[in-house]
Amino acid sequence: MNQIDELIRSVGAHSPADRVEHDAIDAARRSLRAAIAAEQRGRGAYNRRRLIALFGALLIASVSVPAFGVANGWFVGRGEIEGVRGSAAPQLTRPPVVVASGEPRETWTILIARSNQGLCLNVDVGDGQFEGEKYRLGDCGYSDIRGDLPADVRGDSSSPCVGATALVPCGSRPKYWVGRSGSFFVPGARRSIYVGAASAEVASVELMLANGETLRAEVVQRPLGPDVPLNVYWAELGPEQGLEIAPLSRSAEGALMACNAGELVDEVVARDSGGNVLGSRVRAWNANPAGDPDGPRPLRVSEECV
Amino acid sequence: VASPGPNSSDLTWNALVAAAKNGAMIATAEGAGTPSDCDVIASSLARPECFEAVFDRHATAIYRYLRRRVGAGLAEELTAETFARAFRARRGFDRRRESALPWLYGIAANLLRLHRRTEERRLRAYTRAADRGHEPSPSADSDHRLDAAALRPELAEALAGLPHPQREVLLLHAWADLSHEEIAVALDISAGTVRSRLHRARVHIAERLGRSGNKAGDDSMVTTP
Repeated sequence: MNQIDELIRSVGAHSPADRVEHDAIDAARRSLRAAIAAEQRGRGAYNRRRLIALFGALLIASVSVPAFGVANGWFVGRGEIEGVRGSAAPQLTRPPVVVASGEPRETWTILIARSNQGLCLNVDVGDGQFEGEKYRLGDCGYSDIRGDLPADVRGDSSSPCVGATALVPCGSRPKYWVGRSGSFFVPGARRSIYVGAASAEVASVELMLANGETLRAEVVQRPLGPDVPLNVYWAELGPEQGLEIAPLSRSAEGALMACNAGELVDEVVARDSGGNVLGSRVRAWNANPAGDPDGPRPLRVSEECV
Repeated sequence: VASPGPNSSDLTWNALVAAAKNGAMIATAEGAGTPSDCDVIASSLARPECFEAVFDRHATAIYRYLRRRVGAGLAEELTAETFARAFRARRGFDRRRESALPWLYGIAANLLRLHRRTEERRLRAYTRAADRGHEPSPSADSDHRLDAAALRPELAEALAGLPHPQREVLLLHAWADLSHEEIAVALDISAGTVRSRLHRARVHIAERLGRSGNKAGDDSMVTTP
């Protein structure tokens, strides 16, 4: 052995297994199981399914914004806990509503709908240019937005959500002015569509980007109708915001991946019509599964995404 | 070693999974032995849950390597991401390889590339702490305190100053115990490139240590790989 190697080998040698290691490996195992469960659920429902890996390693990041898309069907997953809530596909109770659409280089459409599992928030991506298929990204599930929401928008308050140390009924968690935010990677356009729901009192939404910039989102007032007090906000994230969003596929991996688009946004701030801050949400992660603004902020996973 | 395909019986599948998880020797219709990583990954294409056996085998090694590189907090996240990415990309696993470990280190290395500045800041923090004659602040995590005591400041500075590709090769060799060929697989470069980078890294380290007045900088320390 080279002496330099010996010297380096002696540095930072790992101590015997400790609690930190045990907890870390447990967390990684949970994350892997969530990915496995997601694939198993998808297989049961759609044979032509193709997966696009879009999100980072954090359990919460990966499950709070499910991003496995299928063409011509509503996402079969259910919000936060992949593999826990059962495999039944959501049943829409009303026709879906188009919130916004665009085609920077590739067509995308934001759709929302009411379902027996709660609010469905999806983005259709692709006009056939990307691998010849369209994808529908997103999910349906419990909405933790303030307001008197109908049951087919709120979802089942007894369904499990991630708590600080264990699964808890979703309804037991606080309700927020903004929420259910998620990013949807548009492969052909090299950009992400950031979408979320907000309370009807929210007049404007600002995205505090990881690169220090602030981006004002579009807010669509009550897209589900005047009787449903829920707004939807969205924004395009891409080069115009100084964000480099590109696939990070590596030869050793072989899958199409993007920077965790959720990491491009550190915080979402909601304001009322007078410009007053109503509340905010930060990125969810293991130690702050609801993305509570008073909770701990996550470490940056992909700091060079921005 | 059994290499079941999609038509294998449940009995065979389950036995393989159980054996892979337990590291036990099993007997199957095709033969006897512990299924290789390749077998397990092949099985996981039809039975995704089989992939957890790969995690059971290698998660500790990957985590410990990452922890040495970037500290406990980030290592946890990157370990999770490494296996999540590996699971998604398992169809691309080169089935000529028996062990998945170099492949997993390769995925981890790709993630570390996104954090090279974090690693360099960490290494230089040790140097600054040592220069001030004390360890990093009490607010630093226990990893920092432990490593700061062990990590010679001149060596930390030398490692931080290495070009990332050289540092990657050197640490995969010294800390992950990968052979030149395994590093080549992990980083998708040729074995010759591995040897070249390793040599340059050693020379760089020796020169830096030599400039700091340490005897470790003797030219005699650098040997041709």
